[in-house]
Amino acid sequence: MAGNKLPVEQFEIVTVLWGARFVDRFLSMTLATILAPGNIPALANDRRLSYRIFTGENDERRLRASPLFQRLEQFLPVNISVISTRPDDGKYRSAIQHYIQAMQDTRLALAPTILLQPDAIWADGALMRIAELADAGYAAIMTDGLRVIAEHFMPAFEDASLKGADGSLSIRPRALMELAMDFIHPYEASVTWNSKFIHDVPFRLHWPVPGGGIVTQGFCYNPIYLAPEKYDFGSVKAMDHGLVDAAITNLDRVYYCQDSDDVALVSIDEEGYSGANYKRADRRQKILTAASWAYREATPENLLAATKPVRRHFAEIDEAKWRRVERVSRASMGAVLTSRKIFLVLSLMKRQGLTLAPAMLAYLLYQGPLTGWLRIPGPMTVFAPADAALEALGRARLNDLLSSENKAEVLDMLAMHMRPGHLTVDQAAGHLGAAKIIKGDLEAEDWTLHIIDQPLVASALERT
Amino acid sequence: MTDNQAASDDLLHSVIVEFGGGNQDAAIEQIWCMHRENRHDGGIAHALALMLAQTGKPGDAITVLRRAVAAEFLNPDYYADLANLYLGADDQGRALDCIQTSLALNPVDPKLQKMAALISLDDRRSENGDWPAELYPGGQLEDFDADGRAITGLLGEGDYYQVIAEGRRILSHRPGDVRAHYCLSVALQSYNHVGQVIGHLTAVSKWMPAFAGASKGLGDFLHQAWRLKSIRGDFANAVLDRRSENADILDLSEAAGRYRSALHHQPEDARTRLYYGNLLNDMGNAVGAIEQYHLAARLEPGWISAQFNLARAMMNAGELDHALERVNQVIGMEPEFREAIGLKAKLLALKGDLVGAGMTHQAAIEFAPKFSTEVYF
Repeated sequence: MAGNKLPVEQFEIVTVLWGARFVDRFLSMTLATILAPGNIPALANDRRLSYRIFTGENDERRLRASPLFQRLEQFLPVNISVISTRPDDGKYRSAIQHYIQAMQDTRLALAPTILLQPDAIWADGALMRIAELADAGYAAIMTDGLRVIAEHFMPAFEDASLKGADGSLSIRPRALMELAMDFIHPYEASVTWNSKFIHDVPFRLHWPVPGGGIVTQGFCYNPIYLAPEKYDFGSVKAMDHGLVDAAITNLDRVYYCQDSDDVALVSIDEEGYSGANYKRADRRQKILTAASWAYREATPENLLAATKPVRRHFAEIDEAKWRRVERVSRASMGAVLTSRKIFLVLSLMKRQGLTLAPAMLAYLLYQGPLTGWLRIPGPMTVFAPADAALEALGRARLNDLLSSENKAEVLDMLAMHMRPGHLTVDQAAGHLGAAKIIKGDLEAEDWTLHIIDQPLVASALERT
Repeated sequence: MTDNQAASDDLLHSVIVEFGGGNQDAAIEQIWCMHRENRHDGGIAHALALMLAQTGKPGDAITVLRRAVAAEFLNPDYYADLANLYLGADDQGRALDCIQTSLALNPVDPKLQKMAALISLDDRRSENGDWPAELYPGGQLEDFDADGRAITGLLGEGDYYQVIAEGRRILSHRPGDVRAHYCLSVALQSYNHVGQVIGHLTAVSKWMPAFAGASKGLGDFLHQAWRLKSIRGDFANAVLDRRSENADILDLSEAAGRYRSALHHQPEDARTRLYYGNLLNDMGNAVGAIEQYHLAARLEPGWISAQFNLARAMMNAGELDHALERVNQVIGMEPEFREAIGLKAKLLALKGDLVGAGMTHQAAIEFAPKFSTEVYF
């Protein structure tokens, strides 16, 4: 990992919130837990801290009247910036702009930012861990709260946490994870591998580890700490979706919290009438739904994040058990990422005017055996027969090839048309038998597409 | 009041005057036109229904007055008038429900009290045990009207936080206040507190049995609660070694009963038909579901969700050609409906056109999912 490894002496903590609902949550949960002994009190001991809060005018009054807020001010200066808001109106888009403004405002002071969302509950010690990782030279620290149902979780959390005389609430990471899994939000449950449902935006998937844990692999984590290397924030869509790409040049300096013992937090949410946003889905549909989201939306940082398994647990789990589940999670996420690449290639084929080759590939992906078969981590070369070549075979033959009775044949044929590694036109020519490349070296990220004048048959490969 | 509303009210007034002046046919014709243009205007529907009733068309009057009730479901007068029409049609069951609903909204109206007495509401009271005297027992009616105006005003402004505070205040001294329960259910819905919404809607449905929207809403929430709980139950089974509260899956029959109750009072509500169909699907009653989707699609032919659900149900029933025809209509109405395109691809594959299915799948890869609470998956 590159980067400056000098201790970070100064942090600015930033929170953006407005509306009674979020003020209530911030005061009763977020503020109470960051005032736990291992968080702000410990951090304020040997670092210079400041806190900036963006909030509405009425909300400021409620914040300042809170004893916990007054307690916070004993540890660090708090600067409240009053913003013009309407309750819950475009909250994500508006919030991200204020987080960005805070980072731009501290640019000259060289104070990195701890981004503290108002509906998160932090385990005791999490903020000190952030400081350690910052000292180690990381430019961004990524994690995401496991979502829980607010109305069920909050009373149980108040019972389970240790109350300080100052109103703070302290909870250890595993105790927090146990509560989180007890009161898991339907969103998290639906994106779990064994669920019969899936949400329409599956930006992460979980694999259960029986006995008290899950492995998560997903695209979107929130930066909880950012020391920007650049300030190119023009196209940022969301905290977990573009902010790190805009701020960090070297993604090696991004730290992903891969164990809940490291940094644990949960995110409180409503159970949601949006229940109908969950649809019944088998595993193929889960893979394709996630791949489709990634195809349309994922940033380079999101794609990197998806390769990092995250362990969340409340029990001590045997390492061999973790590894068994992680083998499955890596393979499944591999299928998601490969399917995303196929979407890229399908799009490229379409732009080249092809219809039949992409139709066959799309059919195999959606309804044939392809999703379970393809887990290709690296570059790939795809040979797509031109429409005329496939038309010559006749529609009946093409349908016959795709039918489930010919699974072995079609997979063999596919293997001839999709070769691991990057083959240029010159390199590929020797592998094609009688076929010729009509148009080549077309690129979809690290996959290469060559359009050929006839389908490849086994004899052609045998000759090479 | 907007200029358009003021003009509409003036026109309505002049039509009523014309009707009273004896020019009944012309007045009814004019108000029918107004109603067709503004089907969700309760005032127009109410006036039209009364005119139809007075001119010997009680069936049409009931249909139109149901629309008025659906549009202004907290208006006790509409329920009272509907009760009269039901009585005239010898439909005492619905009449009693309407009177009970109207009394919950206006418990001191002597006209309603008289009607209740006339049609043996006392029998109903004995069946339900505690209706209606126990809904607002002695002394609870102080500030009844002012409270109602306050909370419905806050709801109209969309200030849900204040609605919740005001609703809880009202319920603290008048626990049965149906308007407070209703407003709280809406406000808490914005907070997605499923359990609390179900609680308030249950109270509304109990005391306002003719309020179809409450029964339908309760059916929706009970169904969704079942889905959410079953999703969480799968997680608990896989991750937690101990028994979870999620293991107790809710019974869907209560939700079904709520939908049937809503349809009893609003049989022409396409949305209730569709959601009831979705529930029947989850209950394994595919035949019942397809019937409800048919009715919903017939009631609102331009409603994409109804057409989509119907097409999907037809596919599951093996009616591939009809399903394909229907899904093509859906795609014609909304070309970027990803799920509809996916459905078409499946249909093509089932019909043996696998290449066509692949082409269809490929056409959808650029589109985002279009999930909605209406579409059944």
